[in-house]
Amino acid sequence: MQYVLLIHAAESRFANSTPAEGEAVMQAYGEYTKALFSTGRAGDCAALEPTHTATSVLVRDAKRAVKDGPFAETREQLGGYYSIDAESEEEALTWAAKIPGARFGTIEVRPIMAMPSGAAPQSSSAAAEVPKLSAETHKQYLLLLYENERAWETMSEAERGAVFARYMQFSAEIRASGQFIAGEPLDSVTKARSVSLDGAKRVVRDGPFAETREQLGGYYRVWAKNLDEAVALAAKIPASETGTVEVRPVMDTRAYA
Amino acid sequence: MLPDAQREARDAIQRFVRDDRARVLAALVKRCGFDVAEDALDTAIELAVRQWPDEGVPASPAAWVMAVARRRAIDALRRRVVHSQARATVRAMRDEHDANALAALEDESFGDDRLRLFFTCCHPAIAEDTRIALALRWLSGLSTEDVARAFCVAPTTMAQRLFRAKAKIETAGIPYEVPEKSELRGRLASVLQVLYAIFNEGYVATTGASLQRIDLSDEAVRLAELLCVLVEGHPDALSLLALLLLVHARRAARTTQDGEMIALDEQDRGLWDRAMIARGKSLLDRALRAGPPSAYAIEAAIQALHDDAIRYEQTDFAQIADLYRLLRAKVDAPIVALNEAVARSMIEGPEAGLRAVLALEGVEGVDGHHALYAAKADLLRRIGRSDEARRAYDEAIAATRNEAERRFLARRRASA
Repeated sequence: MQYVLLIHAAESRFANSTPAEGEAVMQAYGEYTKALFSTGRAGDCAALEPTHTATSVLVRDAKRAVKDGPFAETREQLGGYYSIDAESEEEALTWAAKIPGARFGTIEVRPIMAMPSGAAPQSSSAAAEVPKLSAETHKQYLLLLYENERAWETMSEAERGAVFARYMQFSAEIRASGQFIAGEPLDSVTKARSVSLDGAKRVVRDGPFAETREQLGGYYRVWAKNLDEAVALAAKIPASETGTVEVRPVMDTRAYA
Repeated sequence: MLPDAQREARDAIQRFVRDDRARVLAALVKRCGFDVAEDALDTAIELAVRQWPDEGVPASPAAWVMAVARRRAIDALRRRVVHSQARATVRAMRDEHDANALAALEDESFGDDRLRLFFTCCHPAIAEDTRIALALRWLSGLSTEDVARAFCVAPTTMAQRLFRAKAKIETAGIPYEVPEKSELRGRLASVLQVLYAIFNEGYVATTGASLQRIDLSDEAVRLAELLCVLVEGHPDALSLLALLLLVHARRAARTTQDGEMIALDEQDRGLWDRAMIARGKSLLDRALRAGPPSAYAIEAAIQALHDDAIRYEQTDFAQIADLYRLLRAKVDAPIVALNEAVARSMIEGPEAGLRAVLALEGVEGVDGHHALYAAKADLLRRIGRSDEARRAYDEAIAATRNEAERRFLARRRASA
């Protein structure tokens, strides 16, 4: 089973910490990342820049609205994620509890939505050469898709199929342009579990990190030349029409890799 | 140290801040980003403040500041966590000879740098309030304290807001460039909106004791002038500049010497700046010849009609009402409908005006706004329903936060 471990913690904690404390947290993350990736089970991960660098994108009546700030103002903020392939939910919870952020925040463990068979993107064998993008010319952004997942439940099978096809189309486009780095659709928040540490004790509760009207339903990690290009990508995602796509710069953590 | 030298240095620095700071900042930003550029520039200006009184004002103050700031920027970049991009920037800046950087200052393309700065600080991904603050800080060269005062917040609050905005620009990768032609119109709109907001804050300060803040209005006019040159007379920019000039021309007549507000119907029209009105009208003509009128052009046309009237009673209210109707088709704001109703009342009588105004009660965007209560009160006063008029004035007074405007409303109430 694949899971995404979503790290929620108060940004103010970092803003008020000394450089040494900040450095210590980054080191701890570096070690955790190394340990997780050495199992060969980790899929992807990213650390995010703080929410005051976020931009929200909505498309209504074919008109794009760009707003300063994150999708929602919360006391604790999404600061990064790991995706892993775990044997069981228990294993996912164990890895979640080891994340440094579990000590002062909450890790939401969400299953990745299982793709209908045959829906997985075709391997690139037939595809033309994909441009190789890098930090020399591009920046990394995480596009966070927020919408009311209830809306899915009320859709007919055909309607869902149509939306799904648009996602496949978008994914194919950004793979072909070399902008795609990673991306996953998330399963319902009803399947989420939230992990935090009370001292050394692991506390797990059912449900997402926060109950909201709209929920994180998936993400794309992409390369874009600048914010304008990232916003243009966000506006192509169906969730921008029914919900909000938050564009968050990905932190450059190469120094800790 | 001679007082003359001191004064000369102080004047030169003030001139630099007013006329050249923005273009030097823009040129630096292009080379090394906002963060480094602004700090380097501030350090260079501080150095000028210390050195110029003793050593004299350099032949080209802007070139002097640019050269010092550039060296500071290189030092700052060297101290930063060294990653490849910072190294590349340092190399590029070091290799660029002083002489070349100075030549760039005299270069025509400098205008482009400032235009980039304009579009960057008015980027839609920056909160609207912050865009205005950034424009005042970066393009007008107002100090953080002055910007804080314009927003009625503590300087530390404003410093934090500006710091975060800068962090957002750098970290989120807000491009430092003029948008493509296809996007220019949409993006220019947000720049014009920022200028209009700065002007309006100067025209009627949101809060505080005095009605006008002429410094802010002057600044908006100056920035609009600059923008018009930079976007080569784009009709929307021309229209906004025309609008600002046609309103700003009345500034001397809008208040008494002790700062009391004087309404349009009581102003001494001899105090209006006729040269400014003429210029506004000719800019508006130019904009109108270029294509269908923007909302700013319609507003400018309305103001031009007011400016044309020798006495208030001779104002062409029929045409003004029609223009408001035209404007309503473009800007669906109830405040426009309110203005139209008031203009119509001057032709069709206060009863008709009152009916139209009352219809706007409860409409979001104007309900609870002091302008609605004030219009209602004026109409009731003209009809002679004094008791109701006084109650409406009370509501208007309670809803406005500008002291001068409140006193004005109280005087009108007394005459009801």
